[in-house]
Amino acid sequence: MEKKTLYLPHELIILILLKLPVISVIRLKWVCKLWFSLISDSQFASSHFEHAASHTSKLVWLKFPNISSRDFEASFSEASPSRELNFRTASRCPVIKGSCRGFLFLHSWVIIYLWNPCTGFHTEIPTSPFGSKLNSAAMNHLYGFGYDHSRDDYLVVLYIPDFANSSSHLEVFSFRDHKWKEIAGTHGPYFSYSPGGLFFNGAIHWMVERDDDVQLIVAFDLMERELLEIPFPDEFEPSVNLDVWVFGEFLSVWTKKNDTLEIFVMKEYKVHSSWTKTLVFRLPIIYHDLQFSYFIPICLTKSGDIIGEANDCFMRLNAEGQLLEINSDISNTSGSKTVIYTESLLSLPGGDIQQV
Amino acid sequence: MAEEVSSQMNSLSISETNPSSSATISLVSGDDIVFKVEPTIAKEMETVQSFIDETDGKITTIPLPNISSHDLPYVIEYCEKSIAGKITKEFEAEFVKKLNNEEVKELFLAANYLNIKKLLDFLSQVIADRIANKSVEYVRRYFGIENDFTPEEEAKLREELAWTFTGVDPDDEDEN
Repeated sequence: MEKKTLYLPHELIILILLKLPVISVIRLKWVCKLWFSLISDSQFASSHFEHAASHTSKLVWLKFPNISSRDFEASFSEASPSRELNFRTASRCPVIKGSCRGFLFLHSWVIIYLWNPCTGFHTEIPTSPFGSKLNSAAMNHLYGFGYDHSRDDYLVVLYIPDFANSSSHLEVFSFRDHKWKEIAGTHGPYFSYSPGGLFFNGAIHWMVERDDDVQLIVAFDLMERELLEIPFPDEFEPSVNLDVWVFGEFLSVWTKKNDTLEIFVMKEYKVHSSWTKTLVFRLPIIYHDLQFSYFIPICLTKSGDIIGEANDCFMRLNAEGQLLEINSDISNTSGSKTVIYTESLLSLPGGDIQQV
Repeated sequence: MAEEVSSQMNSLSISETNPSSSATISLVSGDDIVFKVEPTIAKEMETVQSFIDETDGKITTIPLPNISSHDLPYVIEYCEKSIAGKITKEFEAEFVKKLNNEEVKELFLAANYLNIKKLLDFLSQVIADRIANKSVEYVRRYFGIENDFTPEEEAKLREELAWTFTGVDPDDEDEN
């Protein structure tokens, strides 16, 4: 057969690049200058992210002083080993508070960073004028990071409860406007053990305790810019081991009492009557009679297994709570959490302040 | 192997005439082979259909100078399966198994020229799968692209992108 090479026009090259996973696309920046500019284009990054077939999700956690990531869909033993993501800043090592559309939301004392580990895009947001006036320990501040589809904007949310005055302060930082804006009204005050916030369905969710000791979820809707309460299921008993997470495509709460894990799922978002007790099982015993001192469900895999974190290891359980696999390469630093991170080529509005 | 299959299909398509349908569309490949297809097949090919529409259906012989008689039967086969709702993973796997890299690109260009969205979408995924785990050098050869970076730019890129090189397949002999 005669040896010839067919050339494809740009628009067809783009169709192919849109189907590739993020890591392959980034590698192929090196093909030639044209490909480099095609792949670096922000419009291409958006199209690539909207193309759901090419999404790759990973677990990301802080293994001091580095941030590590690994696959979780395939078995831990078959997947490639965890990779260290190099986040270098002058300041101390930040903790992970959340993740959205390929960005990690990192927090170090009063500094907030947004970082896309795939592209190296990295930005630091200015301290809020209100937050900087506070001399109080930032321990009970709630943070969140998410995306407002209606405005194509990313927002950082900061909630500061004021228990002394039964009041609170709420403000958002818009990347489009590049400034903080206060949200009027009094909410709560709420206290939370997991101040990172969960971005789901256009809103940031925190598991909180109101000042009347009632446990519930509060959600900040990024489009409406308002905070609202989502009460727990009626049959939910107060607990100290619980949090809000995502079960497949649903908002969910889990609670652990002794060695029993209960999972409730909100089948229809914000519809209280749709809360359903979905799973109840006893956590497995791994070392003779030694129980886990803690267990935190992180996500549900496509095949319906639960990935959780316990005693510095990741565990894979099936829906009956049977232990399928253990991977012991984590040691999350206090205040940081393991998040699910979806790789992307996206940048934030307002430009790259500083390349890592 | 691929040659054999396609020549068989050629003869099938050419000899196949349907007397009950007067509106059969004749597609003429770049190398002057006539393929008679049902109007429903032509509908799948937007470029062909708009040509027919523009002439109010009076012209039913359509020259396709950019498409060879080697590629056209594949395109027709895919459209037939698509109309019948029989595009399955198995069919698609079989369909591309017999195509080498150059043939896939040829078909991809044909699908683009004929504006067949499903085929275009499918073939872009096929090509993506074939290059996803390949080295940069392999991909350059695959698309016939010259490296136009300076050695200094190369050194910088190599360092920046080093993390993306894990899991890359060793370059085997190119298939075509």
